[in-house]
Amino acid sequence: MIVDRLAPQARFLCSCACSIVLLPLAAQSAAAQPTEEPQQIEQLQKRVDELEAQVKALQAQADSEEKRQADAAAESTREGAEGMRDMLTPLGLGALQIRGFNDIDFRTFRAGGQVNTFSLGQLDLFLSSRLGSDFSTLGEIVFEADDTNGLEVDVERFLLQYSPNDRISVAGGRFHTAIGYYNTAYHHGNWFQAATGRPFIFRFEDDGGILPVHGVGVTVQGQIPSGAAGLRYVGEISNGRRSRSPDDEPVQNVEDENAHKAVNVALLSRPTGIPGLQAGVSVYRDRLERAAQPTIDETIVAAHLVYQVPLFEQLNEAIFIRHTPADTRATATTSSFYSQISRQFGRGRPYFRYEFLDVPNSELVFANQIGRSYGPTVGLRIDAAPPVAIKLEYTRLTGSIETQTNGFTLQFAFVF
Amino acid sequence: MFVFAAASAATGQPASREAAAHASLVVIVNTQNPVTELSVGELRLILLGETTRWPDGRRITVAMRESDQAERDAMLRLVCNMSDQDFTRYLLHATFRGTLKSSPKVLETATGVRRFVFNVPGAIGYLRGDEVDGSVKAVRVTGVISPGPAFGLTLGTR
Repeated sequence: MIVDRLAPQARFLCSCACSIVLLPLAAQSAAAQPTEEPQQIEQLQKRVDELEAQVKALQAQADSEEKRQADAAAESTREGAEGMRDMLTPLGLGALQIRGFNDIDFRTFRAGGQVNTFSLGQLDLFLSSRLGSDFSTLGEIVFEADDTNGLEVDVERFLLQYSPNDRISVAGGRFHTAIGYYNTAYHHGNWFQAATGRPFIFRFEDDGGILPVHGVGVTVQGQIPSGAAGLRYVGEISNGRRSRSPDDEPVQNVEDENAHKAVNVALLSRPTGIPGLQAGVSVYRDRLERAAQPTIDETIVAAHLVYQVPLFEQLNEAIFIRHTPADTRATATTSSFYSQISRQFGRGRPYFRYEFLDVPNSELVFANQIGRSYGPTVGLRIDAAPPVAIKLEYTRLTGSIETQTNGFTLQFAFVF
Repeated sequence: MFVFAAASAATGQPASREAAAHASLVVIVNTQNPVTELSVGELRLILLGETTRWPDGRRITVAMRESDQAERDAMLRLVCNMSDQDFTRYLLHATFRGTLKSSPKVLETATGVRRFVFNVPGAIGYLRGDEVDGSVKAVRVTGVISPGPAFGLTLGTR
């Protein structure tokens, strides 16, 4: 095996060295010639030593080059060792990987003035690319319809990540804030999640959501050496949400309305002894400066307990949003929780979710979701093919939010 | 990442699941890798891409056999309690979440896996016991909860 790995030059030198060694030995065996000259033998031995040194140097050079090529192959997503290909890289694509997610829905409404309708979901193009050993980038570009049936394009996520080890990973750009569990576990691809949509506490800002689910800034996360506890941390600093006018774009992509930055910290535990279990808390702080009104201190506390394995999931989250005006200090606390359970049976996965949201009348920031809404959602997801899911869901909510979702939804969600 | 030798070492052809019955899988790493032992929990985190570095800082590269190989199915079942489809979906989801930096490399034959692990210092894979030779290092796996076979294969603990 070693000879096979030698470069051609090394093989040639090796042959020469062997010949030179064997010749004097053959001469020695011919005992009839006792006329050896020690000086000549010494010269030959010296020459053999030199050739051996050259062989070793060439072999080391060949080994070094082989290792370098192997490391490069391991890093590459296109080329590598014989017969090797990347598991998630479609053949023919370059280092930039593109995945698409979409869904097509049909909704019926139980009440209100809305009519049954077909609906296009979000066409989500997910981009990712390795930028060397420690850097990577990812992005989500979403095409979706607005309230006027026109299509618009949003860059929902775009991050440059630096991950030198498992203890720290730094990313800058636009991200999903690590408030609770669902917001970072599920993004814009409906195919991943069991239900047809997100819990209403985690709705996106442009869909009436009341949480700052997107942030523009820097996020740091990593593992904490903690043995079986499996602790992890997340720290984020971002522009926070815009609050001057309800008509403004809620995510401050290029300009912060004030000098105060939003800060979010989260602590998670994934015990190694119970794969699939995760518990965590997060605290988000920001200061909202509304036009010609007192500033409001915003604190969002979230806690979750999740057990999620391929056959079964149970998600439980509670979120509390506290808004405290600087002048009156009269705090308004919005409470919300949801619990979701699902179980895989063959290709089918029935699921059940119960949601609760209570926004007090004294709330000053949310203009549209005042009041209490609650109720169940029950549905069945069928994986017709690995990339295609068909979901039939019934939602029955009580409260001011009910007309936005109540009724049946049939969804075809897929990845491509 | 794991090389499951579904293939005959002599021919390099995939072996049937029946032929692989009662064989054991051996986790292998590069001979330069100082690691000699992994718990099932550590192995699971490596396969799932949550642990991406060896203790010496070298990046971990996971080598896996093609799908529909008994060795791959068994490794995923025994270590991750996942089917191959579950695992693929998990990888896609982890990539989507931004937590998976590098997906496993797929090799067609046991020989390919062995050569890959031999050539890549940070590689880890799996083979049937009779396919392991001196070019790679077998790692002892501890804490195996279910010593029973999956797809006719057990997880070697040597």
